Amino acid sequence: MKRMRNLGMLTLAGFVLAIGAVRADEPKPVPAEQFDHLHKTIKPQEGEIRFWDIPWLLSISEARQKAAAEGKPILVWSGAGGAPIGLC
Amino acid sequence: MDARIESKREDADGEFVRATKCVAITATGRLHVVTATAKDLKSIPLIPDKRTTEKSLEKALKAFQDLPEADRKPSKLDVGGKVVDVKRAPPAPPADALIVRLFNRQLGRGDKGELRYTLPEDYEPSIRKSAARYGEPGNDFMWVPANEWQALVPPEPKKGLEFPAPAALALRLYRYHLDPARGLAENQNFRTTPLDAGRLTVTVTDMADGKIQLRLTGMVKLLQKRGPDESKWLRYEPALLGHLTYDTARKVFTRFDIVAVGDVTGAPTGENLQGYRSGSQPLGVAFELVAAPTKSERLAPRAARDDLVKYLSPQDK
Repeated sequence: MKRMRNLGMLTLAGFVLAIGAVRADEPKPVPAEQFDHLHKTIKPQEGEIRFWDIPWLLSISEARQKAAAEGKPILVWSGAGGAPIGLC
Repeated sequence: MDARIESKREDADGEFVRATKCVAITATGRLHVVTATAKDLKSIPLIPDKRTTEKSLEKALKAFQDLPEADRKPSKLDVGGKVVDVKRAPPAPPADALIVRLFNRQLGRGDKGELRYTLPEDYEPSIRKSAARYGEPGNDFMWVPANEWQALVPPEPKKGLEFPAPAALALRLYRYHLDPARGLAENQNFRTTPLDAGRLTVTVTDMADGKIQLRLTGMVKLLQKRGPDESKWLRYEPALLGHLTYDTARKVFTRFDIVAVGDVTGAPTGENLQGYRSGSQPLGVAFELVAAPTKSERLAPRAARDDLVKYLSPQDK
């Protein structure tokens, strides 16, 4: 299962990238050789945030015209905070 | 759709919203199924029960199919009225702004300290039933105005040249896009972060084939104090690394990838336990350029809510 996967051996502790001075109380730099892997695995994996699989429109007028042309209903997703990037 | 805005529009869209009541004003939000002819078929609360939601949608579709054709597929649809209420129109990205997509994901640590995806047992027992959702990334968009991304390209680039990233870009990242609450709640935790809370440096790493390769490195210590008890404060202290590519012939960025990784301590949302894990826990944020945005990818940054002017031109202190 995806949730049981490690992200590979991405041990950040003790790994210092020698670019500029890093103070002891600062977060340790992101190792250069881990960048691509980290970038890819932080991003959504297959089956995640499927909300974005839907081709949303941002205009009611546009949605009405498309719905009328295609003979379909309109699904409206709304909230006071704007697009539902996350539930409150 | 932002209910606080859409219901007050003085145009055809606003009239439709008021006629159908299809826009919820609660923070959680709702789903509505409506027709192009302004009939409200179904109002569906947002609950984490897929089957209940599916049944509600099926009922709405059935109700739609039972309507006369004049409602299902009107041959003439008059959207009427004023075309756009300019006071309430959804904000569009500034001309020539970069649109960058970002995803923030809670991570865990394995037995050897290696990063991994989260597990249900990482979370407080009372919220473990939502662990699958917390483990998925939150997402948002970042807009980078033209003058800012242009300032990332040195007038006389040479390999090894190093300079500070534009202050506005650094402040936007610190204040708006490195927030552990994104994807969990409406909190905007680090809005007053000063520039000296971190540093962001640009280095020219290569120049070949009409491309300038830039590396972005930095770190920031983000802090939200919540009363006198320091154990309740929220901290996120990521390191940042980015790879940007500028096409000198087309005069555009073709790559804008950034990763931020660091530890969070404290409750991301503060007022409740959404996504809460005790102790210091890793959070990763990945940014990437949206080269050819779709209509929905032109959505205003969630982080800029109610604050777009400051968002686009953040000032230190």
